[in-house]
Amino acid sequence: MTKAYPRVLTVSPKELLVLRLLLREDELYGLQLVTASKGRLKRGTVYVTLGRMEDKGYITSRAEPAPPGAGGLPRRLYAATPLGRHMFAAWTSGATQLVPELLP
Amino acid sequence: MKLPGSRLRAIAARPFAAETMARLVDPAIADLQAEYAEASRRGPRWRRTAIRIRGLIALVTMLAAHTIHRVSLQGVSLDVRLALRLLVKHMGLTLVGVVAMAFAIWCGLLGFELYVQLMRPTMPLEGGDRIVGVVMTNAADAGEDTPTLHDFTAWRTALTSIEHVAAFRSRELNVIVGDEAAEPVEAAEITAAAFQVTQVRPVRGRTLIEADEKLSAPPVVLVGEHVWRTKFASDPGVIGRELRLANVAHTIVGVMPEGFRFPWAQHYWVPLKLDVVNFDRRQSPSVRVFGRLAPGATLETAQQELGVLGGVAAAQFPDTHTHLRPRALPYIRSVFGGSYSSSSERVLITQILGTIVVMLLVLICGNVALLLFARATTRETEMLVRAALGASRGRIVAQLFVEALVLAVIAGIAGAVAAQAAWGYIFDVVTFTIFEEGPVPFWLHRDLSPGTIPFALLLTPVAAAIAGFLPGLKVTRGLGARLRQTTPGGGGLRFGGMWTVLIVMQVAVMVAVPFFLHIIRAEKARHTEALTAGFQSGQYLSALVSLDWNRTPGSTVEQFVARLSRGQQELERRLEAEPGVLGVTFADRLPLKDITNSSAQLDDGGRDHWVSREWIALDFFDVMDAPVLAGRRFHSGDLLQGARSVIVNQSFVRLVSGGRNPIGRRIRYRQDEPWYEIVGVIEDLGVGASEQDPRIHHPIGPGRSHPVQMAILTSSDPKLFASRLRTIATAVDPQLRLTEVMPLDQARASSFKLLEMLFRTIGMLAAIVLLVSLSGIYSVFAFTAARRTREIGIRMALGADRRQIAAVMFRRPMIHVALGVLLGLVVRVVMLSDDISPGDLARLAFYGLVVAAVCALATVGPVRRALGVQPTEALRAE
Repeated sequence: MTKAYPRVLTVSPKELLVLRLLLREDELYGLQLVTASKGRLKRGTVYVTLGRMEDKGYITSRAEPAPPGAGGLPRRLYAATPLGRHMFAAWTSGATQLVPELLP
Repeated sequence: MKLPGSRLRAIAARPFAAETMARLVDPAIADLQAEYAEASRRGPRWRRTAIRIRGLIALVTMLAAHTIHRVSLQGVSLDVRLALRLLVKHMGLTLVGVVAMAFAIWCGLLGFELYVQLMRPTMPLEGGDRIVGVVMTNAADAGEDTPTLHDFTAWRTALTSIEHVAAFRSRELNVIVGDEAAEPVEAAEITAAAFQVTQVRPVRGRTLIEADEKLSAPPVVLVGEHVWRTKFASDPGVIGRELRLANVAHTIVGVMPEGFRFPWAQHYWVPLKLDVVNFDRRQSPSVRVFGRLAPGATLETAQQELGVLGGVAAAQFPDTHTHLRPRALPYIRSVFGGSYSSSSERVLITQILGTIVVMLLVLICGNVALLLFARATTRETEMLVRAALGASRGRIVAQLFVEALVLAVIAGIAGAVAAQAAWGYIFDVVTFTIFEEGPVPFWLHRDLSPGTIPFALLLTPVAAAIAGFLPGLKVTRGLGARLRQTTPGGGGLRFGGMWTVLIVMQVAVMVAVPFFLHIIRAEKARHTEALTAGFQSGQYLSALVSLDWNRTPGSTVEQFVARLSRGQQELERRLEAEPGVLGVTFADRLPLKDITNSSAQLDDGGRDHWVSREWIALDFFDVMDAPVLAGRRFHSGDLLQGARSVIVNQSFVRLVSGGRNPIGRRIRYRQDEPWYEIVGVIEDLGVGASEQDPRIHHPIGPGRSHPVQMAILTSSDPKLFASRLRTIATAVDPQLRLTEVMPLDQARASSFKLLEMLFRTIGMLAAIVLLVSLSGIYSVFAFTAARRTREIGIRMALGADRRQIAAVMFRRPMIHVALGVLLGLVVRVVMLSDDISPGDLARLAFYGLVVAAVCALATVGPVRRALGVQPTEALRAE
């Protein structure tokens, strides 16, 4: 029989960087995150990281309404969730793992 | 404004899930488009281009990373995951490796396809492997011959191991539908049994039946689906309609399905109306005989039976059949004989093709092995740690093999896709080489054969084994000893003699390859030059004129010649009356077209010379606007019995008569024939300034050459006159056939086309070889420089001069390059052994210098990096 383990939340250095940048500004585009990271986040991987963070519940995103007359796809803005803020705070206070069931 | 990413999004939308598109791809493309739009408003053009390229690379990288992540979640083994990650991490190496291996696999697949289609063709018919042909072999000269109508009649009744014995002969005829101009086609006169042999049913109407073969039967024709579609607009009521073949009205009785072009490329089938009673055995017409092996019979049993029948015929008809032996062959071989050669020749060709493919695989995969070895050396520490943790040498080699296999799988897919795309082109080259402008047999196809993909599956692990095992074995040799020395990264690894040989050979190839390109380019230039030599070839329309010859009992050659002569003269008269036509002339061969060489001797008793012979109409030089340089033109008296006047060209004067005036001199082709007298000298026509082509022109009257080439000088674009020409020819004589109708400057297009294809193929091959070789050399030199970091640091600490260090670093690579250049030069000099001019030597030296410079460039980066190393860093590396 498979033993049920509680879900353990982890954070990678890249995810922490994204959280730090998002906590500094309210909302950012993926490309703005790349620019703000001063090269530590790459164009080719930032969206994969953001997608994974959304899965973990650290960030949320919304499609920005396109300005009138603009062509192209609507851009996506990313923001940190309360869980993401907790995660960042816990990390900066020294914890490396959190059990979500224990979070307030 | 076209925003970047739209096309990539459309492509990605197919394999990726909607969620992936919404969360990964769309935000990335939206950001890219916004950045691009912003740059369009303010930035310069180059910046927009840079944004587009950078953005697209990032998108592709992201999709690749996502795919790898997804694959790794699906339980793929650790080795494969690691290999996939390394592929992304070393993107440059991955690209070069994939391109190189894909190229090797691509060559292998195309070689295999060529072998399958040309050497082991199969009939795309139900039970096609049981269709056999019967040929005659002549025991006296070992030659192959076609059987006669009498042989066919005898075999049809006697053979039991071959059923539905049928016969056909190919006829080139003019077809006329309605009021259209005549079009030359190749039709098959065929017996009704053929359709029982092929077992193909018509899509409309019926096939030919035995009653159609009677001489008294009304003329009928069976047409192909292509004819039905193009000539009759797929008319459902086509059965019963008429068309004219050789100016005889034939009723259409059926339509055969698309793709059916039996016996090889025919679209029209008419009954073979030859009754053996009308022909003497000695003048029996030739026919091709075929049939289907009876149930239970084999090629061997059929051969035995034919052997008996052959013996009976030899006894009955010793004057004609003493040396003739009937022989049963697979159908395609029976039709094309020499093209589909004997089994020993097939083995030889297979061996040659196989050797080329294996050599390419080994050479290119050897290069990839070099790259992987260079990469593996940077992971020496990792391997030592794995060995320390208990991994065996086999385990580590297996991991390197898996890495090469992943690379090979990607290359295999790319190679197979590229082979499918390129096969059409290769098919055109090959069929053009074999059949020129003629029809291509229906069993050859422009798609890859079903067996080719399994072959690709076989080639992929072979490529991986070559590229993976060698570096694996090399890099893990002495792993235990290195482990005991506890000096990870300390450089237990060295490039051995094998790699040195590989590099030297690569440089040699780099020097030798441009040689082929140079030869082809020179050949192309010669052809181009010839096109403009002597006359305005673009103003002439050329055509090959021939006449349907109904070899009915009682018809004579004289009647045929008289009819051809009348047709030719009438055609000339009507054409000259056309507005826009400035002149019409005839010859057995036109300038720029193929020539025939003969050996000729001048009356000075000197040596024999190779010359070209041409038979031309009296007005040929007038229409060609070729001035007579000495002597006179031809006149009607030159056609009289006993007149033996010839006109020669400038090349003849230069090469054969040694620059002396040849007027009045005599020439002959054989010792036992009378002399011809040279009466004029004409300038070279269609001969490039860089080539020499001595020609002798003989006069010829109308109807004396069959087929005959016609040249029409027009005042406008000659192509526009082509359809009018056909109309006029049909009006003159519906059985006058015009083929190869094209502007004269395209007459060399065939050889041009082949050269162009060859040039492109070798160019592409050269580019890939150069790319792979340069990457191999670069990685080796980079590796060497990296391994000597400590040595350089110590030298620098001891106060060595930077130039001295650079010299030390360059010495070994340059020795390799010099050896390679030397070897390449030797190869080229051997290949140029016939004629080495100072220009050739200069070119050889130039190629050598270019390759040396390119190789030096490849070493600049590593050397500069090595010189930038601080002594303390170098020592700390230990």
